[in-house]
Amino acid sequence: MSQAAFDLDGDAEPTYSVGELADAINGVLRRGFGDGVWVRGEIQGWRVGGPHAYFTLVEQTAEGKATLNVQFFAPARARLRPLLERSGVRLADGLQVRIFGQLDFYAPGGRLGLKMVDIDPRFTLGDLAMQRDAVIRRLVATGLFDANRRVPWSPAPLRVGVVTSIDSAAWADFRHEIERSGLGFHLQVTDVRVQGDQAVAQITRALMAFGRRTDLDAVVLIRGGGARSELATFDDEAIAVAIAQSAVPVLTGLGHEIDRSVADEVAHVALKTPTACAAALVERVAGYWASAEQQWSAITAHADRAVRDAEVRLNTAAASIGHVTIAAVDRSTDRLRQRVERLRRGVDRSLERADVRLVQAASGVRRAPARLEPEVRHLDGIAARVRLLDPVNTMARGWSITRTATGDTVRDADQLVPGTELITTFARGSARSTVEETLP
Amino acid sequence: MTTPDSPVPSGYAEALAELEAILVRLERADVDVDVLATEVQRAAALIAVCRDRIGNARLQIDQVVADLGDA
Repeated sequence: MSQAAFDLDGDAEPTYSVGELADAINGVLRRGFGDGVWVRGEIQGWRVGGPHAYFTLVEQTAEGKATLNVQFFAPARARLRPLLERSGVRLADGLQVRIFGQLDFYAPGGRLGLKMVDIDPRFTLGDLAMQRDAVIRRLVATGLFDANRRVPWSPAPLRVGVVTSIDSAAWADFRHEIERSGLGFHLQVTDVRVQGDQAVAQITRALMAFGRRTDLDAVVLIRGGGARSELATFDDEAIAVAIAQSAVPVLTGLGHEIDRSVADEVAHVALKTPTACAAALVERVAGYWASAEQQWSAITAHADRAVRDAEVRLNTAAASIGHVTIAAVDRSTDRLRQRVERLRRGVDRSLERADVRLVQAASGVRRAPARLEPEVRHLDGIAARVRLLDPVNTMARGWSITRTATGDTVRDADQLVPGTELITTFARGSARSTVEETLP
Repeated sequence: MTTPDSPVPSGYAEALAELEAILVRLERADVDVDVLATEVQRAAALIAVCRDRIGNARLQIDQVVADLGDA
Protein backbone atom coordinates (compact mmCIF):
# COMPACT_ATOMS: atom_id res chain seq x y z
CA MET A 1 0.00 0.00 0.00
CA SER A 2 1.35 3.37 -0.96
CA GLN A 3 2.02 5.97 1.63
CA ALA A 4 -0.82 8.31 2.27
CA ALA A 5 -0.25 11.47 0.24
CA PHE A 6 -2.29 14.15 -1.34
CA ASP A 7 -2.30 14.35 -5.06
CA LEU A 8 -1.56 18.00 -5.72
CA ASP A 9 -1.29 17.67 -9.43
CA GLY A 10 -4.97 17.87 -10.20
CA ASP A 11 -7.77 19.78 -8.53
CA ALA A 12 -7.14 21.70 -5.38
CA GLU A 13 -9.40 19.27 -3.48
CA PRO A 14 -7.37 16.32 -2.19
CA THR A 15 -8.31 12.85 -3.38
CA TYR A 16 -7.52 9.55 -1.59
CA SER A 17 -6.84 6.31 -3.20
CA VAL A 18 -8.86 3.48 -1.52
CA GLY A 19 -5.82 2.23 0.28
CA GLU A 20 -4.94 5.74 1.37
CA LEU A 21 -8.46 6.26 2.70
CA ALA A 22 -8.32 3.00 4.61
CA ASP A 23 -5.11 4.10 6.24
CA ALA A 24 -6.60 7.52 6.94
CA ILE A 25 -9.69 5.95 8.54
CA ASN A 26 -7.53 3.80 10.77
CA GLY A 27 -5.52 6.87 11.71
CA VAL A 28 -8.67 8.75 12.65
CA LEU A 29 -9.90 5.75 14.65
CA ARG A 30 -6.62 5.58 16.56
CA ARG A 31 -6.74 9.22 17.35
CA GLY A 32 -10.45 9.21 18.21
CA PHE A 33 -10.52 6.16 20.47
CA GLY A 34 -6.96 6.13 21.74
CA ASP A 35 -5.87 2.66 22.95
CA GLY A 36 -9.29 1.18 22.51
CA VAL A 37 -12.94 1.26 23.47
CA TRP A 38 -15.37 -0.69 25.77
CA VAL A 39 -18.52 -1.83 24.05
CA ARG A 40 -21.39 -4.04 25.18
CA GLY A 41 -23.86 -6.21 23.32
CA GLU A 42 -25.03 -9.73 22.66
CA ILE A 43 -22.82 -12.28 20.92
CA GLN A 44 -24.27 -13.69 17.73
CA GLY A 45 -22.81 -15.77 14.94
CA TRP A 46 -19.95 -17.08 17.06
CA ARG A 47 -17.54 -19.07 14.94
CA VAL A 48 -14.01 -20.34 15.29
CA GLY A 49 -11.58 -20.22 12.40
CA GLY A 50 -8.29 -21.86 13.20
CA PRO A 51 -6.86 -20.32 16.35
CA HIS A 52 -9.04 -17.25 15.88
CA ALA A 53 -12.65 -16.60 16.65
CA TYR A 54 -15.16 -14.26 15.07
CA PHE A 55 -18.59 -13.01 16.09
CA THR A 56 -21.00 -10.18 15.76
CA LEU A 57 -21.88 -7.96 18.66
CA VAL A 58 -25.54 -7.02 18.40
CA GLU A 59 -27.83 -4.57 20.10
CA GLN A 60 -31.56 -4.43 19.54
CA THR A 61 -32.54 -0.81 19.58
CA ALA A 62 -35.75 1.05 19.02
CA GLU A 63 -34.58 1.85 15.52
CA GLY A 64 -33.64 -1.74 14.75
CA LYS A 65 -30.55 -3.84 15.04
CA ALA A 66 -27.05 -2.42 15.50
CA THR A 67 -24.15 -4.77 14.77
CA LEU A 68 -20.40 -4.74 15.06
CA ASN A 69 -18.00 -7.35 13.69
CA VAL A 70 -15.53 -8.57 16.27
CA GLN A 71 -12.30 -10.42 15.66
CA PHE A 72 -10.89 -12.36 18.57
CA PHE A 73 -7.43 -13.32 17.50
CA ALA A 74 -5.31 -16.11 18.86
CA PRO A 75 -2.97 -14.07 21.11
CA ALA A 76 -5.90 -12.37 22.86
CA ARG A 77 -7.80 -15.63 23.17
CA ALA A 78 -4.79 -17.32 24.77
CA ARG A 79 -4.26 -14.44 27.14
CA LEU A 80 -7.93 -14.24 28.23
CA ARG A 81 -8.57 -17.96 28.55
CA PRO A 82 -7.52 -18.24 32.23
CA LEU A 83 -9.69 -15.26 33.21
CA LEU A 84 -12.73 -16.66 31.38
CA GLU A 85 -12.31 -20.11 32.87
CA ARG A 86 -11.83 -18.69 36.34
CA SER A 87 -15.02 -16.70 36.13
CA GLY A 88 -17.01 -19.46 34.43
CA VAL A 89 -17.86 -17.54 31.29
CA ARG A 90 -17.78 -19.32 27.96
CA LEU A 91 -18.30 -17.10 24.99
CA ALA A 92 -21.24 -18.26 22.93
CA ASP A 93 -24.27 -17.00 21.09
CA GLY A 94 -26.82 -15.15 23.17
CA LEU A 95 -24.33 -14.11 25.80
CA GLN A 96 -24.34 -10.45 26.86
CA VAL A 97 -20.75 -9.23 27.03
CA ARG A 98 -18.74 -6.08 27.69
CA ILE A 99 -15.54 -6.21 25.70
CA PHE A 100 -12.55 -3.98 25.02
CA GLY A 101 -10.75 -3.68 21.69
CA GLN A 102 -9.37 -1.50 18.97
CA LEU A 103 -11.55 -0.39 16.12
CA ASP A 104 -9.99 -1.34 12.83
CA PHE A 105 -11.03 -0.76 9.26
CA TYR A 106 -10.09 -3.87 7.35
CA ALA A 107 -9.19 -2.68 3.92
CA PRO A 108 -9.37 -6.00 2.03
CA GLY A 109 -12.94 -6.55 3.25
CA GLY A 110 -13.89 -2.94 3.40
CA ARG A 111 -15.39 -3.49 6.80
CA LEU A 112 -15.07 -1.91 10.18
CA GLY A 113 -14.34 -4.31 12.98
CA LEU A 114 -13.26 -4.49 16.56
CA LYS A 115 -10.14 -6.40 17.49
CA MET A 116 -11.07 -7.75 20.88
CA VAL A 117 -8.29 -7.74 23.50
CA ASP A 118 -10.14 -7.78 26.84
CA ILE A 119 -13.46 -8.68 28.46
CA ASP A 120 -15.30 -7.79 31.70
CA PRO A 121 -16.64 -11.16 33.00
CA ARG A 122 -18.50 -9.47 35.89
CA PHE A 123 -20.76 -7.75 33.35
CA THR A 124 -21.77 -11.06 31.81
CA LEU A 125 -22.31 -12.74 35.15
CA GLY A 126 -24.24 -9.78 36.51
CA ASP A 127 -26.52 -9.83 33.53
CA LEU A 128 -27.14 -13.55 33.95
CA ALA A 129 -27.80 -13.06 37.64
CA MET A 130 -30.40 -10.38 36.94
CA GLN A 131 -32.20 -12.57 34.42
CA ARG A 132 -32.06 -15.43 36.86
CA ASP A 133 -33.50 -13.35 39.70
CA ALA A 134 -36.34 -12.18 37.50
CA VAL A 135 -37.22 -15.78 36.60
CA ILE A 136 -37.16 -16.84 40.24
CA ARG A 137 -39.40 -13.92 41.25
CA ARG A 138 -41.96 -15.01 38.66
CA LEU A 139 -41.81 -18.65 39.81
CA VAL A 140 -42.39 -17.65 43.42
CA ALA A 141 -45.28 -15.40 42.40
CA THR A 142 -46.99 -18.23 40.48
CA GLY A 143 -46.43 -20.75 43.29
CA LEU A 144 -44.21 -22.95 41.13
CA PHE A 145 -40.99 -22.37 43.03
CA ASP A 146 -41.68 -25.10 45.62
CA ALA A 147 -44.08 -27.20 43.53
CA ASN A 148 -41.71 -30.08 42.73
CA ARG A 149 -40.38 -30.21 46.29
CA ARG A 150 -43.96 -30.80 47.49
CA VAL A 151 -44.23 -33.92 45.29
CA PRO A 152 -43.82 -36.95 47.57
CA TRP A 153 -40.66 -38.87 46.89
CA SER A 154 -40.62 -42.65 46.76
CA PRO A 155 -38.55 -44.16 49.57
CA ALA A 156 -36.99 -46.50 46.98
CA PRO A 157 -36.60 -44.52 43.72
CA LEU A 158 -35.48 -47.33 41.44
CA ARG A 159 -37.26 -46.33 38.23
CA VAL A 160 -35.42 -43.29 36.97
CA GLY A 161 -35.85 -41.15 33.87
CA VAL A 162 -32.60 -39.41 32.86
CA VAL A 163 -32.43 -36.25 30.76
CA THR A 164 -28.88 -35.76 29.49
CA SER A 165 -26.59 -35.88 26.51
CA ILE A 166 -25.75 -39.54 26.13
CA ASP A 167 -22.36 -38.77 24.59
CA SER A 168 -21.34 -36.81 27.66
CA ALA A 169 -19.16 -37.74 30.60
CA ALA A 170 -22.15 -36.82 32.77
CA TRP A 171 -24.16 -39.79 31.53
CA ALA A 172 -21.17 -42.14 31.80
CA ASP A 173 -20.41 -40.99 35.36
CA PHE A 174 -24.02 -41.27 36.41
CA ARG A 175 -24.49 -44.71 34.93
CA HIS A 176 -21.21 -45.94 36.38
CA GLU A 177 -22.24 -44.87 39.88
CA ILE A 178 -25.68 -46.47 39.53
CA GLU A 179 -24.26 -49.75 38.20
CA ARG A 180 -21.59 -49.80 40.90
CA SER A 181 -24.33 -49.89 43.56
CA GLY A 182 -25.53 -53.31 42.36
CA LEU A 183 -29.09 -52.23 43.15
CA GLY A 184 -31.93 -52.95 40.76
CA PHE A 185 -32.22 -49.54 39.15
CA HIS A 186 -34.12 -49.21 35.90
CA LEU A 187 -32.90 -46.24 33.85
CA GLN A 188 -34.64 -44.65 30.89
CA VAL A 189 -32.67 -41.93 29.16
CA THR A 190 -33.72 -39.16 26.82
CA ASP A 191 -30.83 -37.76 24.77
CA VAL A 192 -30.84 -33.95 24.59
CA ARG A 193 -28.47 -31.13 23.74
CA VAL A 194 -27.43 -29.43 26.95
CA GLN A 195 -26.06 -26.33 25.23
CA GLY A 196 -26.79 -24.39 22.12
CA ASP A 197 -29.96 -23.19 20.49
CA GLN A 198 -31.89 -26.46 20.75
CA ALA A 199 -30.99 -27.17 24.37
CA VAL A 200 -33.86 -25.39 26.12
CA ALA A 201 -36.55 -26.76 23.84
CA GLN A 202 -35.22 -30.34 23.96
CA ILE A 203 -34.67 -30.39 27.72
CA THR A 204 -38.11 -28.85 28.37
CA ARG A 205 -39.80 -31.40 26.12
CA ALA A 206 -37.96 -34.32 27.77
CA LEU A 207 -38.77 -33.09 31.29
CA MET A 208 -42.45 -32.65 30.45
CA ALA A 209 -42.65 -36.16 28.95
CA PHE A 210 -41.04 -37.77 31.99
CA GLY A 211 -43.00 -35.53 34.37
CA ARG A 212 -46.29 -37.03 33.19
CA ARG A 213 -45.16 -40.64 33.63
CA THR A 214 -46.67 -42.69 36.43
CA ASP A 215 -44.13 -45.50 36.16
CA LEU A 216 -41.16 -43.41 37.28
CA ASP A 217 -39.93 -42.68 40.80
CA ALA A 218 -37.53 -39.86 39.86
CA VAL A 219 -36.37 -37.77 36.95
CA VAL A 220 -32.72 -36.79 36.77
CA LEU A 221 -31.38 -33.79 34.82
CA ILE A 222 -27.60 -34.00 34.51
CA ARG A 223 -24.82 -32.26 32.66
CA GLY A 224 -21.05 -32.42 32.84
CA GLY A 225 -18.92 -29.55 34.06
CA GLY A 226 -18.95 -26.40 32.00
CA ALA A 227 -18.77 -22.67 31.97
CA ARG A 228 -21.03 -20.72 34.24
CA SER A 229 -22.33 -18.78 31.29
CA GLU A 230 -23.47 -22.00 29.63
CA LEU A 231 -25.55 -22.65 32.66
CA ALA A 232 -27.78 -19.90 31.36
CA THR A 233 -29.64 -22.77 29.67
CA PHE A 234 -30.60 -24.08 33.09
CA ASP A 235 -31.69 -20.63 34.20
CA ASP A 236 -34.29 -20.69 31.47
CA GLU A 237 -37.83 -20.21 32.64
CA ALA A 238 -39.28 -22.95 30.41
CA ILE A 239 -37.04 -25.61 31.97
CA ALA A 240 -37.78 -24.33 35.48
CA VAL A 241 -41.55 -24.50 34.84
CA ALA A 242 -41.24 -28.01 33.39
CA ILE A 243 -39.39 -29.13 36.53
CA ALA A 244 -41.86 -27.38 38.84
CA GLN A 245 -44.88 -28.92 37.13
CA SER A 246 -43.44 -32.44 36.98
CA ALA A 247 -45.51 -34.96 38.93
CA VAL A 248 -42.30 -36.94 39.43
CA PRO A 249 -39.57 -35.57 41.72
CA VAL A 250 -36.70 -34.03 39.71
CA LEU A 251 -33.04 -34.29 40.74
CA THR A 252 -30.43 -32.01 39.17
CA GLY A 253 -26.72 -32.61 38.83
CA LEU A 254 -25.52 -29.84 36.56
CA GLY A 255 -21.79 -30.06 37.20
CA HIS A 256 -20.90 -26.75 38.75
CA GLU A 257 -19.43 -26.15 42.12
CA ILE A 258 -20.43 -22.71 43.27
CA ASP A 259 -23.56 -21.21 41.80
CA ARG A 260 -26.96 -22.72 41.60
CA SER A 261 -29.05 -22.43 38.46
CA VAL A 262 -32.78 -21.78 38.49
CA ALA A 263 -33.27 -25.46 37.62
CA ASP A 264 -31.43 -26.32 40.85
CA GLU A 265 -33.59 -23.89 42.79
CA VAL A 266 -36.87 -25.52 41.74
CA ALA A 267 -35.65 -29.13 41.72
CA HIS A 268 -36.76 -31.60 44.40
CA VAL A 269 -33.09 -32.20 45.19
CA ALA A 270 -30.14 -30.29 43.68
CA LEU A 271 -26.73 -31.94 43.64
CA LYS A 272 -23.44 -30.68 42.34
CA THR A 273 -22.52 -33.46 39.91
CA PRO A 274 -24.11 -36.35 38.01
CA THR A 275 -22.12 -38.71 40.25
CA ALA A 276 -23.55 -37.05 43.35
CA CYS A 277 -26.99 -37.36 41.81
CA ALA A 278 -26.54 -41.10 41.32
CA ALA A 279 -25.08 -41.41 44.81
CA ALA A 280 -28.15 -39.68 46.29
CA LEU A 281 -30.47 -42.16 44.56
CA VAL A 282 -28.31 -45.10 45.66
CA GLU A 283 -28.18 -43.80 49.22
CA ARG A 284 -31.95 -43.40 49.39
CA VAL A 285 -32.61 -46.90 48.04
CA ALA A 286 -29.88 -48.41 50.25
CA GLY A 287 -31.30 -46.56 53.25
CA TYR A 288 -34.74 -47.89 52.52
CA TRP A 289 -33.32 -51.37 52.11
CA ALA A 290 -31.40 -51.12 55.35
CA SER A 291 -34.47 -49.83 57.14
CA ALA A 292 -36.55 -52.65 55.71
CA GLU A 293 -33.88 -55.15 56.78
CA GLN A 294 -33.79 -53.57 60.22
CA GLN A 295 -37.56 -53.73 60.54
CA TRP A 296 -37.51 -57.32 59.38
CA SER A 297 -34.83 -58.12 61.93
CA ALA A 298 -36.92 -56.42 64.59
CA ILE A 299 -39.94 -58.45 63.52
CA THR A 300 -38.03 -61.74 63.57
CA ALA A 301 -36.43 -60.85 66.90
CA HIS A 302 -39.82 -60.00 68.32
CA ALA A 303 -41.31 -63.20 66.91
CA ASP A 304 -38.42 -65.25 68.34
CA ARG A 305 -38.91 -63.64 71.72
CA ALA A 306 -42.65 -64.26 71.59
CA VAL A 307 -42.08 -67.91 70.70
CA ARG A 308 -39.51 -68.33 73.47
CA ASP A 309 -41.83 -66.66 76.00
CA ALA A 310 -44.67 -68.91 74.91
CA GLU A 311 -42.38 -71.93 75.23
CA VAL A 312 -41.39 -70.95 78.76
CA ARG A 313 -45.02 -70.35 79.73
CA LEU A 314 -45.98 -73.68 78.20
CA ASN A 315 -43.22 -75.53 80.02
CA THR A 316 -44.18 -73.87 83.30
CA ALA A 317 -47.81 -74.71 82.74
CA ALA A 318 -46.93 -78.26 81.76
CA ALA A 319 -44.77 -78.68 84.87
CA SER A 320 -47.47 -77.33 87.17
CA ILE A 321 -50.08 -79.44 85.44
CA GLY A 322 -47.81 -82.43 86.08
CA HIS A 323 -47.47 -81.56 89.77
CA VAL A 324 -51.15 -80.89 90.16
CA THR A 325 -52.07 -84.04 88.28
CA ILE A 326 -49.76 -86.25 90.29
CA ALA A 327 -51.09 -84.74 93.52
CA ALA A 328 -54.67 -85.21 92.33
CA VAL A 329 -53.97 -88.81 91.36
CA ASP A 330 -52.37 -89.40 94.77
CA ARG A 331 -55.38 -87.90 96.52
CA SER A 332 -57.73 -89.95 94.38
CA THR A 333 -55.76 -93.09 95.14
CA ASP A 334 -55.98 -92.30 98.86
CA ARG A 335 -59.68 -91.67 98.68
CA LEU A 336 -60.18 -94.84 96.69
CA ARG A 337 -58.21 -96.81 99.23
CA GLN A 338 -60.28 -95.33 102.06
CA ARG A 339 -63.46 -96.15 100.26
CA VAL A 340 -62.36 -99.69 99.51
CA GLU A 341 -61.63 -100.02 103.20
CA ARG A 342 -65.01 -98.59 104.20
CA LEU A 343 -66.69 -100.75 101.58
CA ARG A 344 -64.99 -103.79 102.91
CA ARG A 345 -66.05 -102.98 106.44
CA GLY A 346 -69.57 -102.09 105.26
CA VAL A 347 -69.83 -105.24 103.20
CA ASP A 348 -68.63 -107.32 106.12
CA ARG A 349 -71.29 -105.79 108.35
CA SER A 350 -73.94 -106.20 105.66
CA LEU A 351 -72.95 -109.78 105.12
CA GLU A 352 -73.15 -110.44 108.82
CA ARG A 353 -76.60 -108.87 108.97
CA ALA A 354 -77.63 -110.76 105.85
CA ASP A 355 -76.38 -113.93 107.41
CA VAL A 356 -78.54 -113.38 110.47
CA ARG A 357 -81.52 -112.54 108.31
CA LEU A 358 -80.85 -115.57 106.19
CA VAL A 359 -80.83 -117.85 109.18
CA GLN A 360 -84.10 -116.26 110.29
CA ALA A 361 -85.49 -116.59 106.80
CA ALA A 362 -84.36 -120.16 106.52
CA SER A 363 -86.17 -121.06 109.66
CA GLY A 364 -89.20 -119.21 108.27
CA VAL A 365 -88.88 -121.18 105.09
CA ARG A 366 -88.73 -124.36 107.01
CA ARG A 367 -92.05 -123.42 108.48
CA ALA A 368 -93.47 -122.67 105.03
CA PRO A 369 -95.05 -126.11 104.35
CA ALA A 370 -97.08 -125.66 107.53
CA ARG A 371 -98.45 -122.42 106.09
CA LEU A 372 -99.88 -124.33 103.13
CA GLU A 373 -102.17 -126.31 105.44
CA PRO A 374 -104.81 -123.61 106.06
CA GLU A 375 -104.85 -123.08 102.31
CA VAL A 376 -105.48 -126.75 101.75
CA ARG A 377 -108.22 -126.80 104.37
CA HIS A 378 -109.81 -123.72 102.85
CA LEU A 379 -109.73 -125.32 99.44
CA ASP A 380 -111.16 -128.58 100.78
CA GLY A 381 -114.02 -126.60 102.36
CA ILE A 382 -114.74 -124.91 99.06
CA ALA A 383 -114.60 -128.23 97.24
CA ALA A 384 -117.08 -129.76 99.72
CA ARG A 385 -119.45 -126.89 99.30
CA VAL A 386 -119.19 -127.09 95.52
CA ARG A 387 -119.82 -130.82 95.66
CA LEU A 388 -122.97 -130.20 97.70
CA LEU A 389 -124.21 -127.81 95.08
CA ASP A 390 -123.56 -130.12 92.15
CA PRO A 391 -127.05 -131.09 90.80
CA VAL A 392 -125.65 -134.47 89.81
CA ASN A 393 -125.31 -135.40 93.45
CA THR A 394 -128.75 -134.04 94.26
CA MET A 395 -130.35 -135.91 91.39
CA ALA A 396 -128.52 -139.11 92.39
CA ARG A 397 -130.53 -138.89 95.61
CA GLY A 398 -133.80 -138.84 93.55
CA TRP A 399 -134.29 -135.21 92.68
CA SER A 400 -135.19 -134.36 89.05
CA ILE A 401 -135.49 -131.27 86.91
CA THR A 402 -138.67 -130.51 85.02
CA ARG A 403 -138.63 -128.24 81.98
CA THR A 404 -141.30 -127.17 79.51
CA ALA A 405 -140.98 -128.02 75.81
CA THR A 406 -139.40 -124.61 75.32
CA GLY A 407 -136.67 -125.55 77.81
CA ASP A 408 -137.84 -123.29 80.71
CA THR A 409 -137.24 -124.85 84.15
CA VAL A 410 -140.51 -125.28 85.94
CA ARG A 411 -140.34 -123.75 89.44
CA ASP A 412 -144.06 -123.09 90.05
CA ALA A 413 -147.18 -125.20 89.17
CA ASP A 414 -149.02 -121.97 88.38
CA GLN A 415 -146.80 -121.69 85.35
CA LEU A 416 -148.55 -124.76 83.92
CA VAL A 417 -151.93 -125.45 82.41
CA PRO A 418 -153.46 -128.86 81.58
CA GLY A 419 -152.03 -130.17 78.28
CA THR A 420 -148.66 -128.55 78.74
CA GLU A 421 -145.90 -130.87 77.65
CA LEU A 422 -143.12 -131.41 80.21
CA ILE A 423 -139.66 -133.02 79.98
CA THR A 424 -138.30 -134.38 83.23
CA THR A 425 -134.58 -135.08 83.56
CA PHE A 426 -133.37 -137.68 86.14
CA ALA A 427 -129.97 -138.72 87.35
CA ARG A 428 -130.03 -141.12 84.46
CA GLY A 429 -132.29 -140.42 81.44
CA SER A 430 -135.44 -138.27 81.04
CA ALA A 431 -139.22 -138.64 80.41
CA ARG A 432 -141.83 -136.68 78.45
CA SER A 433 -145.28 -136.14 80.04
CA THR A 434 -148.39 -133.99 79.75
CA VAL A 435 -150.00 -131.96 82.55
CA GLU A 436 -153.46 -133.18 83.41
CA GLU A 437 -154.11 -130.92 86.32
CA THR A 438 -152.24 -128.43 88.43
CA LEU A 439 -152.49 -128.49 92.23
CA PRO A 440 -151.89 -125.59 94.50
CA MET B 1 -116.80 -111.08 84.52
CA THR B 2 -115.08 -114.30 83.87
CA THR B 3 -117.14 -116.68 81.69
CA PRO B 4 -117.06 -120.46 81.97
CA ASP B 5 -115.35 -120.59 78.58
CA SER B 6 -112.43 -118.38 79.67
CA PRO B 7 -109.14 -120.24 80.07
CA VAL B 8 -108.55 -121.39 83.60
CA PRO B 9 -106.04 -118.99 85.25
CA SER B 10 -102.76 -120.62 86.13
CA GLY B 11 -101.98 -118.32 89.12
CA TYR B 12 -103.11 -119.57 92.52
CA ALA B 13 -104.37 -116.23 93.85
CA GLU B 14 -106.29 -115.50 90.68
CA ALA B 15 -107.80 -118.95 90.55
CA LEU B 16 -108.77 -118.80 94.22
CA ALA B 17 -110.40 -115.38 93.77
CA GLU B 18 -112.53 -116.70 90.89
CA LEU B 19 -113.37 -119.82 92.87
CA GLU B 20 -114.65 -117.74 95.80
CA ALA B 21 -116.69 -115.55 93.44
CA ILE B 22 -118.30 -118.70 91.94
CA LEU B 23 -119.05 -119.99 95.44
CA VAL B 24 -120.86 -116.76 96.36
CA ARG B 25 -122.94 -117.02 93.19
CA LEU B 26 -123.77 -120.72 93.69
CA GLU B 27 -124.82 -120.27 97.33
CA ARG B 28 -127.46 -117.71 96.39
CA ALA B 29 -130.96 -119.29 96.64
CA ASP B 30 -132.07 -118.28 93.17
CA VAL B 31 -129.19 -119.81 91.28
CA ASP B 32 -130.30 -121.15 87.91
CA VAL B 33 -129.99 -124.90 87.68
CA ASP B 34 -128.66 -124.59 84.12
CA VAL B 35 -125.91 -122.33 85.26
CA LEU B 36 -125.21 -124.47 88.27
CA ALA B 37 -123.63 -127.36 86.41
CA THR B 38 -121.43 -125.14 84.34
CA GLU B 39 -120.35 -123.17 87.39
CA VAL B 40 -119.60 -126.33 89.32
CA GLN B 41 -117.51 -127.70 86.44
CA ARG B 42 -115.58 -124.38 86.37
CA ALA B 43 -115.14 -124.52 90.12
CA ALA B 44 -113.82 -128.05 89.89
CA ALA B 45 -111.25 -126.98 87.29
CA LEU B 46 -110.17 -124.08 89.44
CA ILE B 47 -109.90 -126.31 92.49
CA ALA B 48 -107.71 -128.66 90.47
CA VAL B 49 -105.44 -125.77 89.48
CA CYS B 50 -105.17 -124.58 93.05
CA ARG B 51 -104.38 -128.07 94.31
CA ASP B 52 -101.77 -128.38 91.62
CA ARG B 53 -100.16 -125.03 92.59
CA ILE B 54 -100.14 -126.00 96.27
CA GLY B 55 -98.64 -129.37 95.42
CA ASN B 56 -95.93 -127.77 93.31
CA ALA B 57 -95.20 -125.20 96.01
CA ARG B 58 -94.87 -127.92 98.59
CA LEU B 59 -92.46 -129.86 96.38
CA GLN B 60 -90.33 -126.84 95.68
CA ILE B 61 -90.27 -125.74 99.31
CA ASP B 62 -89.30 -129.19 100.42
CA GLN B 63 -86.50 -129.20 97.85
CA VAL B 64 -85.24 -125.73 98.88
CA VAL B 65 -85.35 -126.57 102.56
CA ALA B 66 -83.49 -129.77 101.86
CA ASP B 67 -80.83 -127.78 99.92
CA LEU B 68 -80.45 -125.29 102.77
CA GLY B 69 -79.17 -128.11 104.87
CA ASP B 70 -78.42 -126.84 108.30
CA ALA B 71 -77.64 -123.28 107.20
